[in-house]
Amino acid sequence: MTDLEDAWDRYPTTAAPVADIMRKGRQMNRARLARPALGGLVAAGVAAALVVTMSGGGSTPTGPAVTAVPIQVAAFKADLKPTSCAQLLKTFRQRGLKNVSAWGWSNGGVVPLAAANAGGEFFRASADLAHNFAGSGGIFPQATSVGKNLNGSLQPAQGNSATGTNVQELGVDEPDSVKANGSVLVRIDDNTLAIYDVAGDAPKRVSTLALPYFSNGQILISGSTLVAIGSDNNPLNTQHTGSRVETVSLSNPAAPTITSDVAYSSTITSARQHGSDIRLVMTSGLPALPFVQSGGGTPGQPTYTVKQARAINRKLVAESTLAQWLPTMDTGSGSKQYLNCDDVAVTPASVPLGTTSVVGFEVSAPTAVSAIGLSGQIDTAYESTDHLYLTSGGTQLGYCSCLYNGPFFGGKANKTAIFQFDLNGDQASHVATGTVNGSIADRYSMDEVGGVLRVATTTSTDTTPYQSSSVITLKQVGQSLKQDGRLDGLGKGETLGATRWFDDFAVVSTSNNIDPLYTIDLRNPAHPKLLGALQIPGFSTYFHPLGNGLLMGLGQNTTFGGSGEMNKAQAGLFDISNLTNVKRLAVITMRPWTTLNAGNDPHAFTWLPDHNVALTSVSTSTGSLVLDEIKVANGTLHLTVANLTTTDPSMVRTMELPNGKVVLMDGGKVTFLGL
Amino acid sequence: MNDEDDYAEFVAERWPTLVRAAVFLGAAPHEAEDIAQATLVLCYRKWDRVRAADDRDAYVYRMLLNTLRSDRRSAWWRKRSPQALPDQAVGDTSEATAIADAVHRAMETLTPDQQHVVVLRYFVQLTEAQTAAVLGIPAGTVKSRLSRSIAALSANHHLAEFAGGSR
Repeated sequence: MTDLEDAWDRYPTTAAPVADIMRKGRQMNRARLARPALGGLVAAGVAAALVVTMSGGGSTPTGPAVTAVPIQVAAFKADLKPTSCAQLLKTFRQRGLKNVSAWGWSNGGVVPLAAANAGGEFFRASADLAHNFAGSGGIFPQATSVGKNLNGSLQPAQGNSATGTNVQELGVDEPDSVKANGSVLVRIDDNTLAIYDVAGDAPKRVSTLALPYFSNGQILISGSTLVAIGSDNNPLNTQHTGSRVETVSLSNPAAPTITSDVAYSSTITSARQHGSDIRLVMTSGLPALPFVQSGGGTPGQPTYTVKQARAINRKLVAESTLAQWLPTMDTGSGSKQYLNCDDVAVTPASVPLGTTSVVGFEVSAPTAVSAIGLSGQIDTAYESTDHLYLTSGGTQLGYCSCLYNGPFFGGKANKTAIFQFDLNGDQASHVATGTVNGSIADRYSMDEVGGVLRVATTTSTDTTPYQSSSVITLKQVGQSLKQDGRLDGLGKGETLGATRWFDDFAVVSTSNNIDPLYTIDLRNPAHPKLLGALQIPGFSTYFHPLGNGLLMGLGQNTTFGGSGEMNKAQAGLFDISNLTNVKRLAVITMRPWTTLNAGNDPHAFTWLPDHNVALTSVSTSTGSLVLDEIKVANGTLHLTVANLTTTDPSMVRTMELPNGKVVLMDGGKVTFLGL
Repeated sequence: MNDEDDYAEFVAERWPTLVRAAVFLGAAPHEAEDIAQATLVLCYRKWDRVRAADDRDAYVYRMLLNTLRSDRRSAWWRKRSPQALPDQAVGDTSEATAIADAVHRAMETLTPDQQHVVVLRYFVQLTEAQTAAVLGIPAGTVKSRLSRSIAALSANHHLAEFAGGSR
């Protein structure tokens, strides 16, 4: 036996975490791993995985002294009334006790897997065009909903944000790896900013700046101020869940300077910018208490029986402190709690335990934050121009009876809780709470227009065909978000592929090799109506409105044969001017085993209205990337493909500058594209 | 048998090989299980498609390679795996680390293309056609790439001659 063969055979693997995989599979599109209490049902494989996660890394209860910084606004108007400190701690402890086992937290304490977790922000694409008046299509009148003629050709093209990013909601900017402001373009690679002058014939790098204790950065720009958001890399941060928010002045692009450096103990789930206001949604899971585990295995610890270990762990939870539960920020003068306990509302018990904080600040004062919190973990954040919506739940537990047979998995309907917040500058206040049946795939599945929240949900059932999708409209009534109308039965047995919301209608695709593309009349929110369904091969993962009654659909074409299935990236051009009879005008199919990255990350897509050209990166079978330039002319599509040097799709971006030049960022290279 | 049972069985069966393949393709021990898990989570979501595929294994290993690639591009919203923390190592991770280190040193002598072929064809024991489908290359290329890779590894005494059968 040679050494490699020997290594193959000897390499120790643990038992397959089957239950965990199935559960995460169901929760694939959720930002945050958040499962309800499993009681004693956790399979052995999961428990084994938790041992690794939970043991040894706990912070000691006697951490640095934590004091509260004053909060500008504590605003709760709805039913989730903030409680007293004592009541909040009691809630954390009581609910925590239901989640603790002889191996530590029995659930919810696990930080989600990287690949299973990108969900909330960018995982799937569908997007939003409501109140998007600034697109190149010119003036689009404010929706007056009912009674208005439904005409797809009146819809403008979806434009880009002021900093060049293909965003969900115009007016609400999203962090990305490259941003432009006037003649300055900035990109970030992990912790290093590179600043370019893009006024000349070619982009010229004028400076770089490495951000300390920082990694996985993305940036936002407001005026000459840059805000970088990333992971906290400080070796003293042993939890490895913290985040850093760096503010950098670009007043002199040749000499950028860090003006503020704030470390947060929790993980950023979502970041959005409205003008000069930045809002972060951050999540902390269950605290890392110094749990023991049954059966030994940890060096230096005695061997405990299950009973002993459970008793010790329960005691740790019963004696836990608010400082262990509530997140902290550090502006350079030590860790401080930024949520007063009476600014933290207790969520319904169905929401997984943890702490979510909504932190807002003005870019000129990144240390003066407004913050409110929830005593639970949220999954998805969607921000319209006026409201923030956080959702939690919607696990598709219903039809699994094979692995678990406890009460929790007996076909209980899956529900998603939605928390609505009013936005006012950097402040947020909670105004209403609602629940919908089914799961909400991602932020693109939600859209608000004219005070109506529209959501696309997928509901699973106990019986074949297992699942179908619905469009639900919700309105705020007092302190509740109440269902106004719904349309069910979309894509029976299929997965929701992409959604694009317009003021008066929606385009929804579900996928299972064939792609029914549904058009839905939303003029009367109380009665969403199915207008049409176009059956086409392949499926869409991203829709982009091009204006003039045209919609581009990006996705995959799957064929079977030979030694397996064959996936090819595909782009289609749809005529949506007649919503009861949508037509596919043209389709182009790319090489085998290609994937259009816009489907996973809409920031990988740019529509250039002046050129009638769409740009998106495409992953090929070898892992290399190419840039697809798709020209739209007279109802046809023309494809030009160019090679890229980087193999990292998140490092390929294109954008149109205010001066009309088109920038390509290909890893560390920034060039102008000739179109 | 329903979908869930079917998939659970599939996961339990493929798990050890997927983890080993991830290690042999360059993943550290703590990453390897994450990657195998992420791959299987992705496959769960597309189980209808995986099942419909003539060849499940080709599909799953394709997904594994994609996951390995995307794992290397970290983005800020992706959290680190807690298993990565050195102070949380328990059990036999030291053995896993030692083996993985040795494997990585050996595999480094190959190009990434060669590594893929060796791992899929030689260690995972996919067929030539499956390997070709996973990598999106002709079967002939699998064959020639494999023989060059085996030769390179044998020259470094990491593998016995494949064709010669002498050990």
